[in-house]
Amino acid sequence: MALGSAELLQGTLQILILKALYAAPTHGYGIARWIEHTTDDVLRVEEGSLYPALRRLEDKGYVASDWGLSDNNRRARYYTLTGTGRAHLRKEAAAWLRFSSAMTRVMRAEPSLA
Amino acid sequence: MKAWRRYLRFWGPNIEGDVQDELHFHFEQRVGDYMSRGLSRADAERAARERIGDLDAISRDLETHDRVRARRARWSDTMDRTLADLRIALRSLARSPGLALTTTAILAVGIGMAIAMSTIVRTVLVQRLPVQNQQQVVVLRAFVGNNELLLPADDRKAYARETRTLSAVAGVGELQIASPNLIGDATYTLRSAAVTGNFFELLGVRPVLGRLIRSSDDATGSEHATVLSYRAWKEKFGGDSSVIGMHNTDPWDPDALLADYIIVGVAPPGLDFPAGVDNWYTYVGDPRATYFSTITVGRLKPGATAGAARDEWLAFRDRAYTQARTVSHAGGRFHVTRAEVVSLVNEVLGNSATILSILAAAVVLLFLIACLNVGNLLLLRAAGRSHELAVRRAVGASFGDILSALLAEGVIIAALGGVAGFLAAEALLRALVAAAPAQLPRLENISLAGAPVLTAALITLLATLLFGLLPGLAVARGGLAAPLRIDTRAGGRTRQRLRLHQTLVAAQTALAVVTLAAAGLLIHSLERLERVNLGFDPRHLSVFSVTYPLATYDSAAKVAALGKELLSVWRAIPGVAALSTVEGPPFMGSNFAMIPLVREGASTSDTATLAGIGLGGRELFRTMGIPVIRGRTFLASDDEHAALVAVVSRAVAAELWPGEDPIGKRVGQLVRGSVTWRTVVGEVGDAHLRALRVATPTIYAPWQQYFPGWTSTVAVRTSSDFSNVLPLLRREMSQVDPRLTIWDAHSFDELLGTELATPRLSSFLLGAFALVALILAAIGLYGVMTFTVRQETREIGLRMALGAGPERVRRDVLTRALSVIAVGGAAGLLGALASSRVLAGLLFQVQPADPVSLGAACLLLGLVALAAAYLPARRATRVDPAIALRSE
Repeated sequence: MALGSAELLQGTLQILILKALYAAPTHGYGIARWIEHTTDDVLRVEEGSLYPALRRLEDKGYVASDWGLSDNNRRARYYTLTGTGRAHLRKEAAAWLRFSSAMTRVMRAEPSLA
Repeated sequence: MKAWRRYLRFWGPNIEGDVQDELHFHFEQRVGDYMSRGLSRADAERAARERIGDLDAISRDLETHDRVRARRARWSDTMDRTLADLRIALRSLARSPGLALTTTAILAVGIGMAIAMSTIVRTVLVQRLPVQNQQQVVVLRAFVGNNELLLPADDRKAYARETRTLSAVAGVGELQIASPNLIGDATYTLRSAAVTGNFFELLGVRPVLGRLIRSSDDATGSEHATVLSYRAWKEKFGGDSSVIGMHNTDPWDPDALLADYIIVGVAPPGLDFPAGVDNWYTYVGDPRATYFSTITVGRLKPGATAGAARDEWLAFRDRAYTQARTVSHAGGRFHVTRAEVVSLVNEVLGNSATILSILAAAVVLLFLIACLNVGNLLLLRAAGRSHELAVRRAVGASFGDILSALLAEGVIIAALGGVAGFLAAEALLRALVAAAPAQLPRLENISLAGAPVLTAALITLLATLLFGLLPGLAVARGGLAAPLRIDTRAGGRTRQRLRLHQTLVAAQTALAVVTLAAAGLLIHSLERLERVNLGFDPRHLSVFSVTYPLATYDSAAKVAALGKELLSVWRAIPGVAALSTVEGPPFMGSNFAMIPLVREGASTSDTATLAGIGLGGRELFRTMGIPVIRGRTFLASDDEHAALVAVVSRAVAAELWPGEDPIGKRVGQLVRGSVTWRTVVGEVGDAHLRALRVATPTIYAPWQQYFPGWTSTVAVRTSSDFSNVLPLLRREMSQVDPRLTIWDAHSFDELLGTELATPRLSSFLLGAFALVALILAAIGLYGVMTFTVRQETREIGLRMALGAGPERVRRDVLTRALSVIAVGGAAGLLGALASSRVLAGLLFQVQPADPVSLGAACLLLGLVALAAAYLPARRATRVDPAIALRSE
């Protein structure tokens, strides 16, 4: 299942981005790469959605950006999770987990699909 | 990264470049990823392009977003910095509250006066009359010598037919003396003016209420219409619309007995013509309509000039009068010597235009002085802080930072001054309106709104720029390190700055001298006016009028008998020193009731003389205190049955019989084409009874011999205060007939006060402006001298240590101050001489270049300046040389 930008709900993408930045600051490509890698390419992030989403997160104060050098010594814009971003992520993640486990329970309920 | 992007980045955030960089990096990473999976460079790029999609669209989105964000950031950054600047400026001003208070006070005075005066000037001068194409409407006047000739009705009709320059001609009667009118059940004192029916049509005026008088009202048999002025309607009738349709009967109109008028409408505000009018009415079906003389109003035809109208008018009037003389068959040529055609606007605004322009000019000068002063104060303060500012620059503050910090101070000072000035303006305006003489036209329209507030905002803004930037530029322009050096006081820069201060002070001095000189001229003129020899004695002299029920006193004989009886009972009252019937109240204007005179035996080439007519009884000259030069005054026997006699004033005698004794000579009065001959029995002095500024040549006649009836105006000389005698007069009168009333009773002190109100007010205002200007100039000088002395503390100390006495030092400081004052004073004197010509029309027996006034202005300024410079000079010599040498 590949999720296109149209399908990937905006709020969902934002949580994914925040989670991608949870471990360490990285650039836009790093975020996309991490999401793809982590979900085994199930979730693919469109560039047309990723960067505007980053801007919005920045406007809300959840992430901050700064120019730095990448591993291969190139100029890249690095995004960092801010304190408020971190708190927001925790809250949203809890809601997501509750929602997805509820969904799972519903899907697994008898009679089973198949 | 492309090289040109670096240049873009050089000027701050480079949105385009950053977005390109970020997306390009993303693309490169993706390509690298594909290549690490074994694709060739070309394949990897193709795959990445497919994967990412429209890179340009994405970058356009991001650029838009970033641009909006950058704009928002810049704005909030500016706000933050501005707020910070303002906070700092407030703190720094709070540390020197004296300066803040002084500048606010100076600005409040300057701005306040500017707003108040601009409001008045705008209301009175700039606003338009409620008249269509007002520049076309003119007032036409003709003169014999200095005396105006009104236009008889027949001549007006003839002129309306003949004129090629005017599209319409209307007449307005001179304003009549205030008289009681019965309206409804109440009595109102109104000043009325008769008009021809087409008066309002010619002006193109629209009524506020009801209708105005129209041409058809001239027709015999139509209702007798009267129209109230807006001011009278508001002030006397409380703006009550039910006044329309009410009857207005004039119980004191000797010619039109029992005239009954109906109030048909209310005129729009601002139509104050003749000045002070309460209501206009028409003479309908009245014998007066055929002969009543009027001021002439006309509307210029399109393309016709006032000059052409004047030439035509002069030719017409001269011809008409020559004809009138021929009809009368009396000797004496009668020439109209001068004609005037002025716009109605000028006529309505009259002399107040000159006064107000001068006051407005004075306010502008005062405001300039205030600006220069505050600017100088801030400049001095900035100079005192040059060290601090230099340190701030040295530690990294940019020129702009310093400028915006100084600007913030300017804004705060200007804002404080603006608010204080606005409050001051309101108070000043209220005071001015309260103090203004009644003659100031259209005062009912004054209110502080709209344009003046805009003016205030503009002025405040200007002040801000001036006070904020001037000191800022002067100081911040200075080299970085210069003020940081210890020996700043030796530098040429200080001297340069000092010259700037001195120039500012000299400019203030010059402006102050101009203001002082103008005030001096007006005050000197007022003093002359107040001490003018009136030709009569105004002390303990009063005048009043009597009304009587017309139904009872319905014939001239009965009215005359009433007059005689009243005079005899009043004469018996203790406290009444003398009394006499007079023709009307004084100060009616020099052209009120003028009659042409000819001497017996004059040839047809002689010029006739115009003189005012004065009526009176046997005690007339004793009552008025007019000196008798020769002959006799009137006797009780000079009544309607006796031979006609006259007493002439010195000017009339000198003109009719130069170098001869006038007693026994015969003089003819030309009235409506016929001549009445009188024998001169006495000669008296000329009196300023009709106008304060000039003596009117007058011919006096016994009242019983002039017209049947009684004028019912009486002048009385009392031995004590008039207010003690008035109740006695009333009591005795009620014994004669309880229905009689005394009204319009005034002492000459009051009447003179009214006459002098305008000159007194303008002298007072200009004097106040001059005083403020003087104080401001003194503050400016004091500030600069204090600054100079402080700058030179070390030098002074050195000189004193080397043996210079305190007198020497003091003299040097004073000499320097005086040289600044002398330069400013001389410039101011030149300015005053150049500008005082404007005042000429307002001056009485004082020349515009009056040495007394100008000298007094200079002397006063010099003394005040000396005092302002003396304090710093004395302080300079109190310096302990040891301390002075170590200073700084």
